[in-house]
Amino acid sequence: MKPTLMFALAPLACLLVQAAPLSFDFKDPKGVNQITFKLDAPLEAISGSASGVSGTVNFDPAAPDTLIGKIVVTTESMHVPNPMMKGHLHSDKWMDAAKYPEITFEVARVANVKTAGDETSADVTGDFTLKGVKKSITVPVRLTYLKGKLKDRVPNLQGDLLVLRSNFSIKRSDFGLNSGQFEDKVANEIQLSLSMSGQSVH
Amino acid sequence: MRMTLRLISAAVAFVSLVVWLFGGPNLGWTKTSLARESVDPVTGLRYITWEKTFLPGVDFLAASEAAAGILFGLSFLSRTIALNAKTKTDSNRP
Repeated sequence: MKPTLMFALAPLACLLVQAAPLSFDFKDPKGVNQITFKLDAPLEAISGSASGVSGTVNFDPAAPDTLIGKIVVTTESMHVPNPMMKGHLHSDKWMDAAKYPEITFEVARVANVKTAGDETSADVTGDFTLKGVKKSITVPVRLTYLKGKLKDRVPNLQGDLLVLRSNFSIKRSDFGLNSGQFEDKVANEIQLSLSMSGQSVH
Repeated sequence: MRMTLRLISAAVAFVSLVVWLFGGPNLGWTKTSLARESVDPVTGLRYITWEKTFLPGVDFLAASEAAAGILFGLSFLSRTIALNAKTKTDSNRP
């Protein structure tokens, strides 16, 4: 290739590189990434969190509707403050952490995308897998793209951050979590709140 | 024996009540960790860290009071056993 042609194509190549979606790794060494869950119960609501978050999300700030990715949460990382309750939660009667070690959400499509500045909101449809049961669900997601902010979290790294927030509910009966049982003791509805950030290293 | 059991029973009931009262009093379940909410300064994400602590709940109080009740009940049983043993000894005398 002639040097003149190479110089002419260089800006185009730069544009193509910039337009490519960024890959964000959601394994956070700081332990900030987590999912909190809440179930109503007669004496006291059962609240806890799961911090074993990992996964990759491809996000293009110029085309947020092309979002794809998968978020994984380890079942073993689920924590509730009562030790007996935690034992029950991990047991084969409920989450069966030994047999089903992961809870996953894989993005299939994105709709109703609205972007204002760094903030993007969208309805994300994907496959949610819990205790081996896969169901397609649509959840409202709020994304915040923090360009060049990675160095503020990890001083030696240059890159961007993508903050993901979502609040939605699922029914335990839909995922075989003691379906139709103990509803007088534990509500059927599980309120979930996702708050996590991914990093894309340049 | 009877008096000892009653004293232990009263001590268990009192101490567990005091521990529960000074722990809150927590009307929920017993907890061995407490959630502390923090905010990540860069991302603004709110997240929970779990702090190891013991917070007695109503289940702790109920179990302790039940144990105290059982000890108190045993004190009556010990009196009956002691009386039966005494009667047997008296009847065996020539």
